[in-house]
Amino acid sequence: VSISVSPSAAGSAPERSGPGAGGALLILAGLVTCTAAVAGFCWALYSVMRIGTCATGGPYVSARPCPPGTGTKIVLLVGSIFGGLLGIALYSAGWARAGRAGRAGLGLGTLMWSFTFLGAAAACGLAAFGPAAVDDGGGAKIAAITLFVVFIPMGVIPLIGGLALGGRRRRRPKPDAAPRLEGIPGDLSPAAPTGPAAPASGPAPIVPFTPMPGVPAPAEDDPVEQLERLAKLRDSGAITAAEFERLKREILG
Amino acid sequence: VREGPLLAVWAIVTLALTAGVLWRAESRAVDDPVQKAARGEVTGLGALSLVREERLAAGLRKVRERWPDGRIVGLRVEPTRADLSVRTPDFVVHQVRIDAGLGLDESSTSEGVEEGLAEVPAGAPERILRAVNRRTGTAPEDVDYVNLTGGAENPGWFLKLERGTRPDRRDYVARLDGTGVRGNWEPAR
Repeated sequence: VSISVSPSAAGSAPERSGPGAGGALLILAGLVTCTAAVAGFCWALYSVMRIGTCATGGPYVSARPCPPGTGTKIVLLVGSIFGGLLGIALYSAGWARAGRAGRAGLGLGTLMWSFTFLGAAAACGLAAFGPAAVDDGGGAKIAAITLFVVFIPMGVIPLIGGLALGGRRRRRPKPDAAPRLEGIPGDLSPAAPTGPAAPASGPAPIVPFTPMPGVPAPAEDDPVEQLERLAKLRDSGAITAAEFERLKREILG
Repeated sequence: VREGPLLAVWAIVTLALTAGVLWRAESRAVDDPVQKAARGEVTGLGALSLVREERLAAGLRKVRERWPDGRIVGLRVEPTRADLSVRTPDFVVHQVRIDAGLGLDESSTSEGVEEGLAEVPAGAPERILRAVNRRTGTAPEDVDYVNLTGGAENPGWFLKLERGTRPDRRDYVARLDGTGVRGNWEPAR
């Protein structure tokens, strides 16, 4: 087998298949749905925080009646969570069409989680401290402050974790930085990881073959055939008669 | 298509949109009459107060548009809200609230046969409150509520002060048009 190194291919990124038109539409729909879910959730939470405690119904006059649309906002609050899950599912389905799994580390799921909680924290903070904040001495402001304090770490910690995990992946040696070898379906890279679990994206690198201890190496050529090849080399002038004799002695032991 | 840049763009758009939505909602809340009422900025005879004639008239007009044949069998007016009972010809009584932004909200229904009033003079609560303020030296912000009383046979108004005078000098009554204001402890003339 003849293996030659192609200098033009050395260091080039591996070719990746795109998601296709259908996949791209799914990805786009997923991202738009996720954006709407995050913004809708934060707006609904902000609105509910603004309303505070309220009661509606019955023949009595409520001291704090619920304003029109309160029920719709609560439905949106819950529905946007399911909307976000739907968006992530659409997004993943789009990439699955290209045969690619989701990103490890800072992927859409992690971002959705972090943005939802950070946005919720912003909504609560705005409700508690914004220019239109209501300080009626009730529990609404205390609840908003409490949620503000709780939601910030819930959003920040996964974001930092995802960034750290993504950075660690980037620091690993890339298999596609090694020369591409023609004649085999992958890279022959000395720096390629030899452990199990190759990264999810890109083809798995091929590790150079090393005989295990105790396993006999492949048998040498037949001495007669080697002598015949040597004679041809001598006849063609590739080697001198003296070199022919020396090599012949080596082959015959 | 690379996923990293795509997610980066998505993150920026999502954060910007969410921030914009929240800030727009907050900006609207600053000027929203309902939110102003919740913050205690709608009091007495202020511009948005429902005790004012033009505000109450606008609210009652909306009620009339919604139930053209309805009759008002109960009305309670505060600066931040007005609660009504409106009976329709099919003897259904609708519990309705007018908020500080003149929004209507029907909370419940029941059955009733009260006669009620086809029209209520919207200027009466303001006239009564001003008369009480003049008489007692209190401020418009001292009012608690003004209530329609007496049914269709003997309609009138009852005004309750929240503060500003002795506790036994805070109840006043008046005729339907807002005249004849007197303390509830005083004999009718």
